[in-house]
This record gives sequence, C-alpha cells and structure tokens, in this order.
Amino acid sequence: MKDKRDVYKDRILPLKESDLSLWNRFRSGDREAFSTIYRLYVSALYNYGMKLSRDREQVKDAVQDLFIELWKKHSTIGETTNIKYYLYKCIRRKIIRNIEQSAKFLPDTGFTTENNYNPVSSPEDLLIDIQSVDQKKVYLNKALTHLTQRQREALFLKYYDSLSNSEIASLMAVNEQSVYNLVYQGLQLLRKFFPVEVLLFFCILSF
Amino acid sequence: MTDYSDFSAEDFAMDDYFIQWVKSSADSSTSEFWTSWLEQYPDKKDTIVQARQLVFSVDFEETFPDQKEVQSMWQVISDQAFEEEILERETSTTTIFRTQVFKIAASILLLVLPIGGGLYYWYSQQQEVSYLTQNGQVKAVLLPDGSQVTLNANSVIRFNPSLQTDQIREVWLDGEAFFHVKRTASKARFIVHTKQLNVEVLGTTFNVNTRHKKTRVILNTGKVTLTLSEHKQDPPIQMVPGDLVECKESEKKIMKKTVNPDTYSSWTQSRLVFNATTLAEIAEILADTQGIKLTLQDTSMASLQFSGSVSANRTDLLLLKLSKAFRLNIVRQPTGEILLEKSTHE
Repeated sequence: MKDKRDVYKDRILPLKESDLSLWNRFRSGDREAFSTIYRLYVSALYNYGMKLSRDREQVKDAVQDLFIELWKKHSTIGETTNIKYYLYKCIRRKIIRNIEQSAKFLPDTGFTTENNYNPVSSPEDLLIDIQSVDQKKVYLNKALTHLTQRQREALFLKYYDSLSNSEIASLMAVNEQSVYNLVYQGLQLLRKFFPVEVLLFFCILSF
Repeated sequence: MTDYSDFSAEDFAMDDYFIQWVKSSADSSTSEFWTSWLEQYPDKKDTIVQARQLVFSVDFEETFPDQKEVQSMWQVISDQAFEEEILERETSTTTIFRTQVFKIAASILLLVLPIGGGLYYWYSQQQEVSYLTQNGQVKAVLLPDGSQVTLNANSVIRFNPSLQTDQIREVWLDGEAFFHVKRTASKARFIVHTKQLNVEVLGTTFNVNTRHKKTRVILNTGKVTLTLSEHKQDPPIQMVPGDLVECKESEKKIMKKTVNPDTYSSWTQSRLVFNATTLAEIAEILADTQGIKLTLQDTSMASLQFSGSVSANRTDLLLLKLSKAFRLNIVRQPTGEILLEKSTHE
C-alpha cells in the first residue's frame, strides 16, 4: 500500500528540474529557462553581492550586467551542475573588478578598495542595533564587522551557503589551506567578542 | 570517523558533521552520535558549548531585493539582452559589407522590400538630426539608444542618428531639456555638450538648462560627471542626486547647491513650480518658455519671492496669482509686453 502511494506521488508531482538540465535548456536559447534561473537566484546573488559591497546600486548593476552577458554568451557557455556556484563566481568577479576600477578612477576621493571591503556600522546602525529586541543577533552581527572582508566572506560561504572548502577555495581563488586559515582565524576573532552573558545564555539554551 | 578528542572549539565549529548537528538539519543518527560522544567526554562540554555558540554567531544579515527591485532589474535585463540580440543581427550584416557601394545597393534593394531600414541606416549615417521647439512647446524626443529627452520650449537638441548603445553617445543642447538616459550593457557613456560644459553619465535622470549664457544642471537620480568645455584640465565635478551646478560663461567659478530637483523638472509635467522663486527669475522663465515679456515697474520688485504652482499653459492664472500675492496691477501694453506695477489703492 505504502509503495503504491510513493509510485503515484512520483508520477504526478513534477520533479524538481536538475541544475544540469535547466542550464542546458538555457544554453540552447530557451528564454523561459533563462528567466527561471533569474527568479531562482536573483535574491541569493544580491545577498552575496551585498556581502562584497555595501553599494546597493553597484550590486544591482552587477546582477543586471551578469544576466545580460549570460544571455549574450549563452551558446558558448560551458556546462554546470551547480548553477548557484557558477553564478557566485561570476558576480564575485564582477563586483571586485568594479570596486577596483572605481578605486582606480577616483584616486582623490579617499575611496579605497579596503574601505569598500570593510563596511563598518554607522552610529545609526548601532543605535538601531541596540534598540532591536533580538539581543543575541545584535551582538553577533556586530562581532562579524570586526573580521576582515575575506574572513567574513569565507564564513558567509561556509556557514550561510554551506559550500565545501574546495568550492570556497576556487571561488575565492585561493587554496584550501587558505580557506581553512581564513575560517579558523575568523572564528577565533569571533570568540574574543563573546561576552559572558551570551555564554550563559547559550549554556542554558543548548542543553 | 574523525577523532574529536583533541578538537578545539574552532575545530568543532568548522567540522561539517558538527555544523549539521548544531544547525539541527541533522538526522537522528548524527544527533545520537554527538549526544553519546558528549557522555563519553564530559569534560569537553565547555568546548562544545563554545563551538555551538561559534556556529550560531556566524549569523549573517540577509539583504534581499524587494519584489519591485526584482521586477525592475528583470526589465532592464530582458530589454537589453533580447533587444541587443536583434540589433546584433542587424549590424553584423552591415559590418560585413561596409563599402559605400554596398550600402547604396542595399538601400535600393530594401526599397523594394517592405522595410526601408537599410535606406534609413545609410541615410542616417550622413545626417545630423535636430529637434527644435517654439514658444510654449514641450517635445518628447526618443533617442535611437532608447534614452528619453523632454525638450522644453525654445530649445534645440542635435545628435547623430546613428547614436548607438555600444559607443559614446553624444548630444548637443541649446536651451533646456530633461534627460532620462538609458543604461546600456556595454556601459556606453552619454554626454550632453553645452557651451560651458559637458555632462557625462551612464544612466540617470537630470535637467540641463543652457539659457542666459550659463549652464545649469540638476541631477534627479544616478550619478553624473561634469567637465568644463574651456578648462578641460580642471578636475571633473561629481554630482549626486539633488545637486544643482551652475556655470556662467563669463566666470570661471562654479556654483553648487542642494535643491529639490523636482522643482526644476516640473515643466516636464507641464507645470510651473516655484519655490521661493524671485519675480525676476519668474520673468526670465516666462520669457524663455512662453515668449512672454514681463516688465517690472521698479527694481525693488525683482527680489519678491513667490511659491506655488500652476499649469504651464495657464500663465494668465500665474499672473493673477502674482498680482494678488504682491498687490500688483497687470497692464497689457500694446506691444504685447506685460507690465507689473504696484497697486496704488489698498
């Protein structure tokens, strides 16, 4: 009885299309597949982009340019079994290039790559933080701003996006040992910012 | 199985199996493993607590685009991705046969065909296009790259009709116009040339006014860069939304202030909006856009300030409002000029 129902279920429910097949449809020039890819990944790309740059317009521009280019090159693009990872790679390259370029063209404005990489909370942000109800989250996000851009990015990819170390390594164009070091040092720094109350809070919650 | 007995809090926090458990995405066997492991190493409890806390502390703020942004971004993508596809097909045929002879031949051929695009293409290469407006006339001009220009009264805009999205787009303006520049995938620059300066943008909305030997630029959205026509070596001026920059022909100096940009582009909605605008300026605007010559009885009236708005084709109403606000008489001269004089009776 149970088996029968499972077979039935498989037959009527549309299986989630694999990345490979969706990507291949897009590569063959299927506009519907292209717009599906956009709808599925625009939020993730935007979110990741905002971890690399604080400039909303810059991130939006990069996402738009990325998709426009993808469509223009669709017939020559290679296969992939992991669309999100592929797109992450593209958006990262784009945003970092943009940041470097704007740094090059505006040397006098005090706008440096490092500034853009390390967004620090403004006093207003902190105020909002303090007023927020979720005290746990407040402290956590603040601690994250003490990390370097690269440490933060590695942590984001590992913990938020659950990418493997080797994927992170190739995405960030470093070796796996560097990824390990970035994450390890990042965590060490985070631990330094643990206040006692939070420790207690976790003790109570955890067990 | 990994030997966890020597693990530090960081080591645990980096272990995928441990993360699975903490993030409660673990199946029951994973949970069982960690519970029994803890029973086996009770002195590691502190380390585990810290490691769990570490995993939780890597909690990133999510910044997602809202529905409107997702829509508008897709609009830009589909417009440019699909539109340039068509363009590419068209241009690829013309670039193969670049010779003048072929162009002429092609245009004759295309005359026979229902579409005269080839002829237009060839013809447009040779000619510059200009649009001109008269008194009280506002014209919408669509540039070949998809950018929109609203031309105010008594103004001229010139450009090459072969203006493409993949090269520098240039227009020449004399008078006043509001620009809505389309961003292009190739990041093609868009330059408005006026007598005094060049306004350079990627994609944005702004107002340019070149009347009275000065150029005034007001930026509504986006970013623009200004360079002076005569002082190209000067550092370019960057503008942000709400900035007004004015450059006079006679002076080298540049005036920059923050304004409400909508006041300056209200004419595109066929409204005249004044915000503490002096009578002298109002007289200037009426002369520029409506060809109405307004004379003030004495110079002390010039600095009177007026705030309010009126439909652009109801200048009679504006005059009425002015006369009431400042107790003025409207005297229509036989020459067509309008004289504003102080009312003698209370």
